[in-house]
Amino acid sequence: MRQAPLWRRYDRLSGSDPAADVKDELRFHLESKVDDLVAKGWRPKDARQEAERQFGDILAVQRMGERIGEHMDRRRHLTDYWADALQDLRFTLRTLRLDTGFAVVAILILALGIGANITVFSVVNTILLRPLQFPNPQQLVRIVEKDAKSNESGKTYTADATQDFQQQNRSFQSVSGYFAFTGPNNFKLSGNGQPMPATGMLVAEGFFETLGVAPAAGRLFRHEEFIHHAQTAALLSYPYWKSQFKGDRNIIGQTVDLSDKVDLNNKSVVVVGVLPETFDFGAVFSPGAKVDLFVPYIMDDFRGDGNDLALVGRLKPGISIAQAQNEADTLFPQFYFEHKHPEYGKGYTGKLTDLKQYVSGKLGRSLIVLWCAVCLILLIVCVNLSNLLLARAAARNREFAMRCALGARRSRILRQLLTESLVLAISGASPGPFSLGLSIRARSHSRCSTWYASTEQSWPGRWSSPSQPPFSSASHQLFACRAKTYRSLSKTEATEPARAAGMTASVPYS
Amino acid sequence: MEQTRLELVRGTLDILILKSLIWGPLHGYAITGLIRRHSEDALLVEEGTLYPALWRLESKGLLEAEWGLSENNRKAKFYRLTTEGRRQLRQEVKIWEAYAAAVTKVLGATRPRLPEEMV
Repeated sequence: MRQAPLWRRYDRLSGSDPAADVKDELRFHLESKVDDLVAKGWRPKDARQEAERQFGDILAVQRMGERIGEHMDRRRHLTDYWADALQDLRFTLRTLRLDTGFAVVAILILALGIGANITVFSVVNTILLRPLQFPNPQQLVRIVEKDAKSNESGKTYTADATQDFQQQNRSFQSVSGYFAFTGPNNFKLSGNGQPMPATGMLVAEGFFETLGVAPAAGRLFRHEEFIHHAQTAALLSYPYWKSQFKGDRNIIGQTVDLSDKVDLNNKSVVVVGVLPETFDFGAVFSPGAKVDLFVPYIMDDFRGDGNDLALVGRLKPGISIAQAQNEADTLFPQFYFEHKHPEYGKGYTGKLTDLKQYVSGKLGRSLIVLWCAVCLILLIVCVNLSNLLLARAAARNREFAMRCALGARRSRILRQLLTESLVLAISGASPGPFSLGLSIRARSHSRCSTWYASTEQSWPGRWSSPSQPPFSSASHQLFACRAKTYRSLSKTEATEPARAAGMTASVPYS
Repeated sequence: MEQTRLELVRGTLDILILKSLIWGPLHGYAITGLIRRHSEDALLVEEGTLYPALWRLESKGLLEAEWGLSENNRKAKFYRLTTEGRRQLRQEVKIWEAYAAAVTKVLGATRPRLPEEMV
């Protein structure tokens, strides 16, 4: 084989062309054959025909060649591409190692911006975007009083009014509620050894059934457990069961000592079941709250205590919220505050809101503001970083000039720079989730920031409601320091003689 | 002269191609010629099967192709064995020899004597 002349090298200047290659190769074959035949004494025209006859179906072979050629071409491109990428990567790592200061600063700013975004987004995702983790969530309705400016007692109902509504409504499959004034660590669990603080939520009969929550182990509460002086039962939340009882199934049916921190009465409580992992009371009813166990709300114990039940109901299939609202508008005004004391008056209102809307609506605007703020931070990070990169690029002018002189195309240099940016971005993004993202769990479930009533954005009874900055509720989860100032605030107010309802549980333990 | 034209046994084309490239790069037409000459005109490789086989071997990495000029000054695609191709050839030659020897033995066997004749 002789070397091809120089001009041949420019044959495929515009890139390889497998189809043309195949054609050239086959044409060469035919021409050589014709030459041979002519040399043997054939006439050129006959020779050509004979050569083609011998070859057979030249088009089919050609098509096959094109297919194989394209396949090889693609593979070659891919190999080249990855080889180049690897080379770029090695080069990037080398230059970043030489310029450690730049690399560290860039990665740190990125990690900060991305981490903050991840943190806020995970809250936004839980509260605004993700549907509720209950079956047929569109049937679930939160019932509060219509007066929007009313405080927490204005959003809750007395035991009597609740029972009236449960009995008289025709739109709901079931209506239940929870005690709205529970504070963090309102119980003490004394097992073997040191008594441990625990947060217990009082829930009315049928609460879990209304939501459609089935126990992960054991059973839910029974009717007789909601009767005055009944043997107290408790349901454990899944994380509490895992952490406190190490996921021991034998705990079900056993009694534990649980003391109410207020009256310090030691009660032996039977653990009847464990709630599923997917059920997070806090995520739905009071963002940021961590509830360890649930105990029955016994109506008879609370009849004289005023408004303290936050209601939630499940609509009958086919009943719209508007229909139920109509009914509620006629029913609620007739309800007495207390049957025993009709002189206290009557006349509630009821506003029905889709539970998901209620959950997100409460925090929606503040969360979006927070989200925007964090996005702005990310934007600033990007501007910052691009400034840094720009300065670096200016300093590297010579390097690029050299590469251009050596024959690198613009696209090749661009790719190199993109690889560098990609390396920075990835190394900036990876510590994000680890450092800041992990803190979400700690923050959102930290005890000091747990104030159930506060997430309802107001305070019970005659308390003046502390004025709140627009996103204080969301910030509860994110910035524990806010929760601290908040707590000192509530402490001072707690000295006021307040309605019995929520105070007992929530006040003194801030 | 009566000439025997043999159909290629399946799978032998690859080994023939690899073998014919062992002395240096060749283009497709030269490969047909070489195989025909070495088999003393007994084996005739059809072009319709030769080229796809060449391309397949190339895509497997057993051959490498390069454009060059043929002896009659035409642009032609020359194939060359890669290291991988040489290794493959050695292996396949061994297998082929064992196979051919076995087939020959069976075909060359004489009729075994029947038991009654042995008496």
